[in-house]
Amino acid sequence: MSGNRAKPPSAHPPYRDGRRRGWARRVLPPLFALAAASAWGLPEDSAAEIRISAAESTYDATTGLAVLTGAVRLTQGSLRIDASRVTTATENGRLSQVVAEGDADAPATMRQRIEPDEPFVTASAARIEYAITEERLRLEGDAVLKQGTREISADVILWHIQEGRVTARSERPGGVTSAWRPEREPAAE
Amino acid sequence: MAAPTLTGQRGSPALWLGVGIGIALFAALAVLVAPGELGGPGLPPEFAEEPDVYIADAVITEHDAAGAVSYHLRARRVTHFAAPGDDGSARPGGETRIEQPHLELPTASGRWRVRAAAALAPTADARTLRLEGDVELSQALPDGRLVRLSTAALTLAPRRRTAQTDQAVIVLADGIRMFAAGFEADLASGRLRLFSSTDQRVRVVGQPSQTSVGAPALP
Repeated sequence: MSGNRAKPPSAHPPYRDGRRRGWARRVLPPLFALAAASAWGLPEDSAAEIRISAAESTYDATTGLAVLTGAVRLTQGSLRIDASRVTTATENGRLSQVVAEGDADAPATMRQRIEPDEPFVTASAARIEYAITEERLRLEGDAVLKQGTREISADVILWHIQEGRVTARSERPGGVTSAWRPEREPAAE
Repeated sequence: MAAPTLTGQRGSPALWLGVGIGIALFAALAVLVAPGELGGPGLPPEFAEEPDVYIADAVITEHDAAGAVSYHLRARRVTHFAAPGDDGSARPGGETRIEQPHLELPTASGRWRVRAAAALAPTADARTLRLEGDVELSQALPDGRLVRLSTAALTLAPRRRTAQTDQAVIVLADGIRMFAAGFEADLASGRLRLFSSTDQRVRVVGQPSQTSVGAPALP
């Protein structure tokens, strides 16, 4: 129905369009245990209604794009994204893509609970692209993904939701860094 | 022969001049004291509330300078009240009241339809319309999507293709719902700006395009 509909601006081509970028071949292969533990949030999250609040919004009836600005908050089940600007696109009457962007003062942030008894997975990046249809999260620009004591930071982090797989790449010195901070042993009594 | 005096000279010009000045002063004083009571004849009281123009089941089409349809209006009733002049006569201007207006505004991206319980045009040429009561704007786009805005009241400029309100508005568009404290719309381009108030933020609610649940965890 809406094959020519516009999508939010993207700095990179879609991952699955066959034009794989150089970094994709160099992608660090580790399946990050952080996400591998579970595919995507609580079971009910992906089907939950998406709610966004903001100070202001523009909507283009021709393209179907909505741009929300001013302390924007998106929630979907346990997923929460905070940003200064969010762009949404629809397809066939459903939200198909969300792009959250931070500003000079604060990056876009997200959090989600993977398992009921585990701590939230948290992330921050200059830009968080949530491709709902393709079930993929792309964190770009000083991207950091954390859960408990585990943490990964890179220029770009891709979270393949359905596969429960995380890949990361960096072109800056130091590349991708991952860290695991062991829990402090409880003091002997 | 003695010089003529005012006294004792019936019909002299000076006497009549004095009488005329006196009457004029009295009339001027009367107007200042009670201006409304000395106005023109105007309408008899039983017609005071009657419109100057009355159209039932009105169908009005306005064309722009190039001959294209600017807007098309259907209404159950249109009544126009001309502005009263100082002498009680009707003058251009005044206001136009429209019952159950249905407007169609052609644009490059499709036709906007506007309806409301009533509309009020403060001038005779309908540059702006104040729509009130179950106001709805809708547009069916060529690809089949429908955009619909609902609010209690808004101001519409049919020729400029703009609409705005500071009343709460609900927008339904391609499956998503938007709630705001007011909006401004450029109907020609199809761009809406929704804004919040101190107690109501803009909200967008929609269903996700995929609803798969919990893919199996990797080993």
